[in-house]
Amino acid sequence: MAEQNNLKEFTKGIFQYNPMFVLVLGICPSLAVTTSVKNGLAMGGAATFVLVCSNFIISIVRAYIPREIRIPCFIVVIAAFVTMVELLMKAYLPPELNASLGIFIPLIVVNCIIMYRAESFAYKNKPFASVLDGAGLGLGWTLSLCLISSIREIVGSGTLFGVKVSESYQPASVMIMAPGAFIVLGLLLGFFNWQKLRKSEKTMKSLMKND
Amino acid sequence: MKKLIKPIEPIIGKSLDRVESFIHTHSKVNFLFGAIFGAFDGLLRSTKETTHSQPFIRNNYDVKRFMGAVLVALVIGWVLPAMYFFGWQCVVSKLLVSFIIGVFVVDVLWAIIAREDHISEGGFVSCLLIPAILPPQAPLWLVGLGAALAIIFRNVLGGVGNNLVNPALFSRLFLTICFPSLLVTGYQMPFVGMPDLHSFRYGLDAVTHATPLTAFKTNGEVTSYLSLILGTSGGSLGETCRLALILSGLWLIKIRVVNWRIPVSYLGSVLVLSVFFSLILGKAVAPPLFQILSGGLILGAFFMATDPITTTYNQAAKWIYGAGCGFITVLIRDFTTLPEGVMYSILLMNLLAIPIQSLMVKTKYRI
Repeated sequence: MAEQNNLKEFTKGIFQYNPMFVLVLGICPSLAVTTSVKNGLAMGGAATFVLVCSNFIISIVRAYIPREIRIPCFIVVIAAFVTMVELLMKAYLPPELNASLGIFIPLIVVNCIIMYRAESFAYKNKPFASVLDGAGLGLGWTLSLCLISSIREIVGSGTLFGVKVSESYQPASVMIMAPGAFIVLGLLLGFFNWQKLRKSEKTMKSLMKND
Repeated sequence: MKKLIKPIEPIIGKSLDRVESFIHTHSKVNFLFGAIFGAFDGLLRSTKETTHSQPFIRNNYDVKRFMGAVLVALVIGWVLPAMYFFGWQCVVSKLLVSFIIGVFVVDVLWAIIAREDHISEGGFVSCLLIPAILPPQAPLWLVGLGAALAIIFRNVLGGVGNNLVNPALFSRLFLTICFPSLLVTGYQMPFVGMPDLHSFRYGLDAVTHATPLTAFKTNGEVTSYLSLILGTSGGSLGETCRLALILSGLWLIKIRVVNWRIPVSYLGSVLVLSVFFSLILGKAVAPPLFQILSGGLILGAFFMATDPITTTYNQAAKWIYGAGCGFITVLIRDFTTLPEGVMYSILLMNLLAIPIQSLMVKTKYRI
């Protein structure tokens, strides 16, 4: 029973509460950095690391945080991990990747997914479950970032991971500009909502048949 | 002609009825081909549907006849002249690509995926307009992409009657943002003179040439008005022969498919404003008659701005709508670095049509 629950904590972040397509949280950095798959992966990895670690620490010390000042406490914890990630990325990642991510790594501090999970899950649950929750949501966000950024990179600049897809392809430059991000996000959101609608219609029909 | 058709009419009607009953009794066939059959049947025999409540008006203008009239006018207005000026191979291949991708691939696929029971005929007009507003040397994939974009844009917003702006112009705007280099270059001089076999097939050997508006922007050269009217100057595939466009546009106004207020107010406001600006600024701006005859203004004023879905329904508001189109066109042509502003003006006024409409109605009824 307990194991099943743990698995559920992990997978709900990928499908049921996908931060990008269901909760529609953290849209600003995700639209800004998804011009290439490399950027999307780096951004998703950094945010996942911060999410897991901050969830863990907050759920350990949750008994000592007074309710009135919980938000500043969360921010202190999150900011510490963001600083760590930023310094690590500056040390070990290629400089051009760092330059393209730019201001958005420090801005993870105010990323609403991390604040939301700290407030609504880690503050109320045990450390292990919080870590699983953070990892699931982080993975869900990274996957959706990869999906958006791969579409934008293939259509907008004709490459995938920096490798040319086809020689004769004429890239449509609007896709790596800001409007392209909104178009891709809107189409994907519409697609997933449509799928959900169809699924619920099917279950309704089967229920009607059973009656 | 009617006498000839009369004896075979019942035979065609009966066989179509049999096909229809066959399709409707087999659900899988209906799923795949029902929409296509419905569209063809509607074009051949018109619709069986009638309104259920009063008032009843006997009139043969349904959507299909409406679109059919626009299609005929467009074929006379740009397809036939373009075949002479740019060669039939260029025109026919582009039309085929546009129709096959736009109507027969994207629209049919959409109808199958979204479980719609019929294909609307509005796609034909959009797909006939898309090659007309692209340069003559535009590659075929660009035409196909434009047609697909227009149909998808219209279907996403809810099909015919729900599009916010003109789908053909929307797809041209999108292509302009995506591939600016392909839409700025690729204009060539049309063929002039007695057509021989080679010219009728290929047109003039392709040499890119600036359009009249670009030539005016770069070195102040005013193309002669006669060549602008007859279509012997460069431009997009469908906008060069203004004489045919004006004649077919007037025919559309006569049979009341096009509301006369919009072309009159659009062209009138362009004329008034360009006279005003050329009196003040002299030779820095284009002369009035040149403004009216150059670029896509005639095509836009008669065929695009008048799209009944995207204009205002209120008759008085149509004057404001047309005048706004003319104002924005003249502003963009005279005071920006862009040579042509018809596309932007019509798209912008399409968006403003709803506020203008509600404002006019509110002032009229003093709400």
